[in-house]
This record gives sequence, structure tokens and C-alpha cells, in this order.
Amino acid sequence: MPKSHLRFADIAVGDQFNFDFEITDAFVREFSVISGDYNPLHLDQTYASSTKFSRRIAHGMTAGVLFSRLIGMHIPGSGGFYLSQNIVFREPIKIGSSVKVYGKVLQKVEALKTLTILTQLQANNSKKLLVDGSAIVQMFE
Amino acid sequence: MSKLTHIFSSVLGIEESKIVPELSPQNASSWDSINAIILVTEIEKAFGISFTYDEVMGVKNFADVIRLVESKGGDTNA
Repeated sequence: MPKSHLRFADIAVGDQFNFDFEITDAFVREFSVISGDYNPLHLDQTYASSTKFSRRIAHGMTAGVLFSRLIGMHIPGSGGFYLSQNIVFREPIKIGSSVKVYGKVLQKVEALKTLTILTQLQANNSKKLLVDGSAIVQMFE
Repeated sequence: MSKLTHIFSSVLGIEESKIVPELSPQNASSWDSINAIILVTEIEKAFGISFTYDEVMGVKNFADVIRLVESKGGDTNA
């Protein structure tokens, strides 16, 4: 069950939330099965070592599913639903690393009960911004 | 081109030269319910203004948007 059920009035511009997530090998393999994306860049070390990344990396859309968790479980949780999400991949997501999933409310539109939420994935070790984006979410009440 | 024209062009995927006062959801298929929400979001952010629900629902075409933004003090020539 979602951990939050916020109403539009409960949320203020500037509100933030974050959680940590481990990018494990098992997660990457499961993501391949669920998505059907078996690109060897994510699964085959021999192939990946021949690329500019030198090693296997996680699927970029890992950020998409983590942003889905951020929106659907935390801000705003079950009180809202996704209208849009843009994503910019800035750095590879390393397998075996820990990432921080971060959201911050940038804008509220009273007339439509929508929120614009900054969504980011950051490396916990290097503090590098890995994935950047923003979501628009509409609230039920 | 104005900031308002640029927003409409960018969100609806229509050339700026084709953003005319008569543009409406009836003659622009990309002006659907989702893009209408994105338009309102982008206009409020760009002009630092807020709309009411009735104001948003009263918009029938681009000319209405210009009038509405100007009524809030927004400079639609900027």
C-alpha cells in the first residue's frame, strides 16, 4: 500500500522526499525479463567491456520505475496519478551501486490540482546527478 | 515570436507561424486534455500568474488565452 495519501492542500512548493535503492545484479536481470530489454550492455560483461562504459550498466529506465515508486508511494502517494514524466540520462547507473531517488515539488496549479515535481537519481557514493527529470501529477482532491 | 506562442508551439508541436488566434482544440488535434494541462502549467510558470478552474474551462481558443493572460497582467508580447 502507498505510504502516503496526501491531498492537494497538504502539499507545498518546496516539499521534498527521497529514498535509497541498491542497483543489484539481480534487479538488472529482473528488469530485463519484465521489460524484454536484453541489450547485452546490461547483461554481457564481455560485450559491455568493449563499449565506452567498459562494464555492464543498468537500464536507463530503471530511473523510470524508481520515479514511479516516488510518485505512487510517497509524493503524493495514492492521492494522485501520473500525467507526464520527462527523463534525461546524464550518467550511467552502475550495477552494485547505491542511488538516491529524490523528488521536490516545484509548482502547484490550483485550477487543475496538478503538481510539477522535480525527479532525480543521484549516486550515493559520488553524489553525481545520474538522471534528471520532472513529472506532472494530478491530485484527486 | 512571443513567449506565449513559443509555449504553444513547444507543447503542441505546431510551428510558431501556425499559432494563430483561431487555434483551438477543434482544429489542433494535439491540443488534447493532457496537453491542455501542460499548457496551463507552463503558462502559469512562465508568467508567474494563477488561473481559476472557471477561467481555464472558459478558454475556447488561443485568442482567449491571450486575453486571459493579459487580464492577469501578463505581457503577451514578451
